[in-house]
Amino acid sequence: MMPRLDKVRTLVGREALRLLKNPSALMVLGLLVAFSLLLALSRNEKSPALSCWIVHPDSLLTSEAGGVSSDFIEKLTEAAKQTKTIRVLPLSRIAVFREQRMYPPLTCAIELLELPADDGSTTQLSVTYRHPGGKSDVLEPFLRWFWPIAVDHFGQVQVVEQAPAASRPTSATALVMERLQSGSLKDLMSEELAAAILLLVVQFVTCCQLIVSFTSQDRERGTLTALALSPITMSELLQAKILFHLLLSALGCGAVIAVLKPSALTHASLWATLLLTSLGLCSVGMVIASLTKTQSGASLLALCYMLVGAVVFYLATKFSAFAQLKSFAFENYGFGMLFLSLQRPIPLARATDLAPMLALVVGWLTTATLLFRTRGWR
Amino acid sequence: MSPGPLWISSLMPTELPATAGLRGQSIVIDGLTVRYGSFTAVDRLSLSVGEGELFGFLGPNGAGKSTTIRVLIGASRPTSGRVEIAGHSLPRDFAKVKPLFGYVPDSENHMEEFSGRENLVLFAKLYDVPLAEVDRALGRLELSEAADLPVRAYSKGMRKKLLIAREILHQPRILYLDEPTANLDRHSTEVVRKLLRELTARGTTVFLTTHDMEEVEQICDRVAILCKGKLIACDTPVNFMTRHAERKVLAQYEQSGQVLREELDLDDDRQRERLANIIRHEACVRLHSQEFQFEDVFLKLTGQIYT
Repeated sequence: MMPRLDKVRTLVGREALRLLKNPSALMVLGLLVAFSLLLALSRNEKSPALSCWIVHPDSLLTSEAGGVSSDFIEKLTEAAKQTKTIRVLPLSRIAVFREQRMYPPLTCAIELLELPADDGSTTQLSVTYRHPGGKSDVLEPFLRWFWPIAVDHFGQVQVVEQAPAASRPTSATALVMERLQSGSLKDLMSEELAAAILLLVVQFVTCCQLIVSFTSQDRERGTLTALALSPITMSELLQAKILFHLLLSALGCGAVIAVLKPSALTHASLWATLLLTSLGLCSVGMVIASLTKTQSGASLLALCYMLVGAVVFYLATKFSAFAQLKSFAFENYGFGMLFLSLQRPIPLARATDLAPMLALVVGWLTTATLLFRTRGWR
Repeated sequence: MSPGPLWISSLMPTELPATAGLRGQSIVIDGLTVRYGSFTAVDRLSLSVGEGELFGFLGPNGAGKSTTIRVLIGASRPTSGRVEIAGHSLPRDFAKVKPLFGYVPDSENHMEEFSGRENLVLFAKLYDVPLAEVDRALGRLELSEAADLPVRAYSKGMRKKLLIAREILHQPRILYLDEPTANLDRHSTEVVRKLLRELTARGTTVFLTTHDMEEVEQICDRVAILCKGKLIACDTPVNFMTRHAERKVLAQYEQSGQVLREELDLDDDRQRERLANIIRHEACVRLHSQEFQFEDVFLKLTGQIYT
């Protein structure tokens, strides 16, 4: 049966009125937006961007290495023209002293090197990122400028940070997550990262915490039963609740993006990620509200969900046996996609993280619908 | 056909007390059983309620009244048995039945932060009722002055009346009420009772649970008494009292300068003879017939006093 739009609109209006009459919920949202304003203001106090050298083998200009066409260097060179802090140079122009390449002090360097592959017949392109460390924005040139172009070109990039003993395949998202979990957040705090974290918090509050609070309050008071006994269907009730919280999330996230990164407002991949993450969090919220009988129980369960997520990410990062665990969390994909989409638009066809995210969100949504219809209102 | 006053109700046929008899059936319950694990909350309950009837559903705490109502409104599934509401089977036709009834629960379930009017406007929109009905319903329950106050500022009685106003907005064919006059003052109780009589006069079936026996006696056309999940009696209040009344007389008489009191059962030969002796030989000061209330019938039938 198709939902009746007038009924859904009435129910969305009811949720909106509830929010307007709930000062504490409004205060939380206001504080989140205020926090993004503070971040935006502090952005002006940041130290000037580090200069960064991108060095590459001379052969890359004419040949292919590891399946990499030479137009990658052309792209980098073209993009570097837009900034005075990035220089793209062939390796032959860098001085070497005692087998160490000499860069000016307090300069970052991204070294593109050709390595022989295991079978010896082909070569691979290795990316080594060298930075002076200690400053808050050491990774910024890499994350903000080089990495989006590289991902756009290759899809996946092999990164070696500070030249560790053995390189390992990783993505920038994984790199960001690792640095987050290792506690060196300060080193990574670019405005995109701050915005991505803030967006996740806004979504958690608007979609998970508020939906849990409102729905379990409805249930505890008996208003959910009163609504369920009126001519509306449970699907219409569920749709209205989710629609309202999606709108609220879009409003909150829109405000944060407008303050922190206005240029990203037009990125379709960003909004697609926001939609999926918010929908997933709404579904999680409905599952929690359907499983608990009281508002306090539901709030505690929502907190448990957040803590379980933190534990899962910790385990997945620290112990290889749990590495696959985080691939079952849509937030894992959501965070990476938010971060990348804030930097530059990603063509939806290349946003491969959206597919597993969509599958996980659909799973949560199906569970939420079944639980809400069978026991959520009783 | 609307029910007449109580004296007419008492003339209604009582051979099939669990059925409404003369009128079309709004509610038909046949062999309803509800079990929670090994506990049987409702045990093979069968009864029917006619259109426009004001039906009292009584029983001590834990008798199964609320469970039965929860099945009737579709909030619980029966373990076995058949339930038909206005010709629709439950739980199969739940969506068709929903617009046909109103349900006033025993505990209020308003949106506290909304005003009384906002609560009613929401439900008016959901039921496609013209918004003018909101003011009318508020007026009928004497809530017009408090209509724009948040419900959290209402007294318990006002909240109860707002619940009733909400549930009569869409002019339901069947109205279920769980303790509708609890927490109401005398005046408000009368307002609600008058409203219920008006509704039944217009053909609405009212299915009422209450612990107020005076209310049952005053307004119910028929009454069913449930005990431990089983229907133990169903009849009109007048018939109940006629069938189960115990005729007693309180006699006050003077003996040796003292005034004594004695309660005598007129259905007992020896006590009847004793009453005759008092009248003949003692200085009888006062004779007072003891009224047998519906409450006495209820207590007698549910076995709380007489067993």
